[in-house]
Amino acid sequence: MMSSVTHNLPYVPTNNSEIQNQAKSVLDAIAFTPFEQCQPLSRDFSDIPNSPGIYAVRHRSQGLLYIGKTKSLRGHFKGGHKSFLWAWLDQYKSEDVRIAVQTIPYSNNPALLLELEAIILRATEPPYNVQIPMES
Amino acid sequence: MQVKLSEQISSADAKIILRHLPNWIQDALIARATEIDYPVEAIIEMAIASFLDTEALSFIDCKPGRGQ
Repeated sequence: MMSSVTHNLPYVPTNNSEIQNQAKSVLDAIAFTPFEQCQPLSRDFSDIPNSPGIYAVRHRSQGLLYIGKTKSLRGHFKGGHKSFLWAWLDQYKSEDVRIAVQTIPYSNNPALLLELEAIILRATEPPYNVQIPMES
Repeated sequence: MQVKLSEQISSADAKIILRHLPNWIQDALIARATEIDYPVEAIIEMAIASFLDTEALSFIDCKPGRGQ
């Protein structure tokens, strides 16, 4: 679970519809890509780009388990993501957990980062940090 | 949304910071910037921000203490 944070980020709700649409597109890509098209777990995650990005840890039937950002998608998962431990504790099968990722190119910063941050904050609910309806 | 560009490391500041770092650190930062097609000032900012918040990619989305 994410730690409690009291720091207030210097942003207010955006009225930039283009950026909002970009953020929604990114969220849709990681949240609603069919499970079978997501990346399966592996030891080296060599199919995941070594780039900054946003990711979703997904469960085949339980839906989204976690959404987060990281400076290196591949490095983040190679190092072991906390949601994998929680999934193991919940006795989820490894084949029922997959990852969806979207890289974040610099040209979209920083406004897109703030929108993505707002999405992550809105999604900060259980099970592991997110609760967004999934496809059936 | 009012994005405060002044809260980012500028290209000029990045050059100053780089000059004060060991050569192999400079080289590694520049190589990483090239690898992911980010400017080196964004790489320096990301290095600091992600040290403080594992989910941060820049100062603007950095919440110190998150992920620790």
